[in-house]
Amino acid sequence: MFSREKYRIQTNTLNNSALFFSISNLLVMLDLKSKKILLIEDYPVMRKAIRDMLYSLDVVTLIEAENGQKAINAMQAQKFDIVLCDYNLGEGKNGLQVLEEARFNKLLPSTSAFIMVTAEQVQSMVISAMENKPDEYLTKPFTAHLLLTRLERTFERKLLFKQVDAAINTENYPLAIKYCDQLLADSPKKTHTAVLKKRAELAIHIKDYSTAQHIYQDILEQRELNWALLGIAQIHYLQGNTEEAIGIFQEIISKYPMTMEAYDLLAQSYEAKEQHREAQEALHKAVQLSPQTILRQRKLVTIANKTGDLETAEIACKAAVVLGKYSVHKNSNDFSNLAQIFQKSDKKTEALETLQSMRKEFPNDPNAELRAAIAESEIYQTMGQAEQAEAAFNEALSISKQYDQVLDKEIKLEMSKACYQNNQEEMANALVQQLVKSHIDDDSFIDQINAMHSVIGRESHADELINATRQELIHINNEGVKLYKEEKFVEAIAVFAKAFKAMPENKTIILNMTKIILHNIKVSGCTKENMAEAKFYINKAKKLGIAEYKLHSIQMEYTKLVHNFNKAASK
Amino acid sequence: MNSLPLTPINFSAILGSSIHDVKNSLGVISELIQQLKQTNTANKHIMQLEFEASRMNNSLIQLLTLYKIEAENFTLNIDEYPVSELFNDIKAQQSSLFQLSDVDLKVECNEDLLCYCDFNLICNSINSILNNAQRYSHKQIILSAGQQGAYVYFRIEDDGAGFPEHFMRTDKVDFKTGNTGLGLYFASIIASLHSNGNKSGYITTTNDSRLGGANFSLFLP
Repeated sequence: MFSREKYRIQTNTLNNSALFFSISNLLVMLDLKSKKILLIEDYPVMRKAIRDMLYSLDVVTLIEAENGQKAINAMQAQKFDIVLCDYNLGEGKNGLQVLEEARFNKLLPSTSAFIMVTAEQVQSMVISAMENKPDEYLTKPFTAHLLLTRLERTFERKLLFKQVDAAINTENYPLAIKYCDQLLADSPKKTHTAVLKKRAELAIHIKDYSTAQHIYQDILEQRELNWALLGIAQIHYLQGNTEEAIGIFQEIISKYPMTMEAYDLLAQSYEAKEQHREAQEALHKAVQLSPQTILRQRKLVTIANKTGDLETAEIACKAAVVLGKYSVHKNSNDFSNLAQIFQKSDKKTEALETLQSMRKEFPNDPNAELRAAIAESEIYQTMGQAEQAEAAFNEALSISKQYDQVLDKEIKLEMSKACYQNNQEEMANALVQQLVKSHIDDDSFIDQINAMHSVIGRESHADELINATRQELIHINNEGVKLYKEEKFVEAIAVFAKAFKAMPENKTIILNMTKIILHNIKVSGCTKENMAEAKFYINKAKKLGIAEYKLHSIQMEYTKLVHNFNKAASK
Repeated sequence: MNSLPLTPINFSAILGSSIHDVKNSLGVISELIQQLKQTNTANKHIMQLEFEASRMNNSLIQLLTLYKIEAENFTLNIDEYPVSELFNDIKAQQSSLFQLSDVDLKVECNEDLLCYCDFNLICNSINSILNNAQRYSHKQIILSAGQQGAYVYFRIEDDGAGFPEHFMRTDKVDFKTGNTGLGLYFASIIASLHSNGNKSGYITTTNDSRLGGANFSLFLP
């Protein structure tokens, strides 16, 4: 039994010499009684050992999961304060994938601690495990006392940043900065570097580069630390000094080769300068050190496709397919990309087989089925099997029509390309028009639309369509805003409603529409109908992924109106 | 029949993979000890087993680290840490050992003292020196830390007989004397890898302990 009183270790509590203070006393310990704990471990013997260890630490609420999926299910059902997760979990998700999914789907509040446990210190495993930044990292075997010490350290840190993190969660960065500055004034000196690190990250986030740079430089004057160098390089990159950024990223990689972010950012910098070969090289080194990260493997596929290095593309794409099997980032795109790479390397059989396994892996998924059909039609075409090519294309057409509502924008774009190539001009135009109208605000996707058109030699067509849509949008927006200023709210709403019908996924229109509806409610009073209308557009805006901070004031306004409305109704 | 061509033995690579093997076995042993502990709570032999297993584990980590340094795929992971955080970790690692013996461990350190180091490696070095100190001391060990010029020092003082003569010259580690002093050798290597500008870390071994025994100090720039 683990008993705290038994320890013969004493901390020097004599305060006679002015130099020495006692360090945190063993008896003042973290209370685990009130903490909800999830233990993820596949090996029953080990699970029992850790369970007993946790109970000896006075843990009361303990849930156990024997594999990654069960762990995710448990985390979806309830929030845990502590997640203790083994890295190796047998068949299925590994610990890294559990953490990745938990972070991606926001299953872990910032107040919770995620502790990664590994059996051995193999370098690639350690680096991989660290990539998603667990709060702590423990190597087996560990004692109850060490686990408790690490938990205390984690919760001490979480407590320190409690207000800062809460502000960041609501995307209120100015408030987060205010709390950081308070901590720098009030908290003990030993916490300052950690606070400064966060303060600099926040400064970068709000584009206050000079503050961030000052902080990093002050730290570097004390001591060269890899993360401060990384910060300086990042600022150079963000300010467009790509050359300087590249130089520092290279320096970091040569001095601190385990700094994985440096490889990603170096590749990004080379990409900005269209130096694809160098970008590929940087990512290639990174995946050799840390092969478990699916998003990096995918980036390598994209770049290797650009440089035409099909061998590298194939290896990375195969890795992405394997990693995707149990990943939250699983996507049928990896299969169709691999099929395309095979096709380009003249491996037609492998290409068709890949599409077959894609269908098996993604049953009843229209996106995957459409991807497979388009790719098959292309492959049969290059094999000179016109009949099969046409059959596959017809299948693609019918899927595209039937599932228009649920298809991704990327696959729709690919479908439009296939339509042009199969002389289905009308269908292609309709698809492209819909995509341009819905995503006119999304610069990177508009770039993709342009790129697709230049591949098939129709640049001018895309340009015209995009310009016309931009003009239309500006025109409608100006007209609506003009009516709004003339206080003709009903007319303004009518204009935006028409625009919404034409471009149902345009963020600018939704945002302006919502603002005018709310203003109109304020001026002419609440009704059930206009409140429901406001709610509809706010939900739509959220669904489109409009940034939280842009929605923040709208949300506040709406909450206030609801409050008033309820008060009026209760009178 | 043709004989297979023999590949020359790369001893250090074999050593590296053997250590991994032994470490995995040791992991299983430690799990079993944890289970035994549940049913035999006050058994001194089991506690001794647990301690020996953790000591072996520590040594293997040191061997592996030395192997990686030799193979040149090793870099320190330096950041700033409060010394109190290192000491808390060390106290946690040492708890089972000091439960076994009659030796008291006193820890002294200024709450605000900071150091730049590779957290795991420095904890590991100090832990193994403490393990040895515990063997040779009678009643008490003091673990302390402080600032001395451009260096932060970690000091372990005991009330034992002190270091034998040949241990006090750490520039020449003599593996032939029987007691290998791997812990000291490891500490000196790890200390020297910590550098700042033109300054590097180092260790000292003297017999001027406040408690009358050995005094081990590790200095980090």
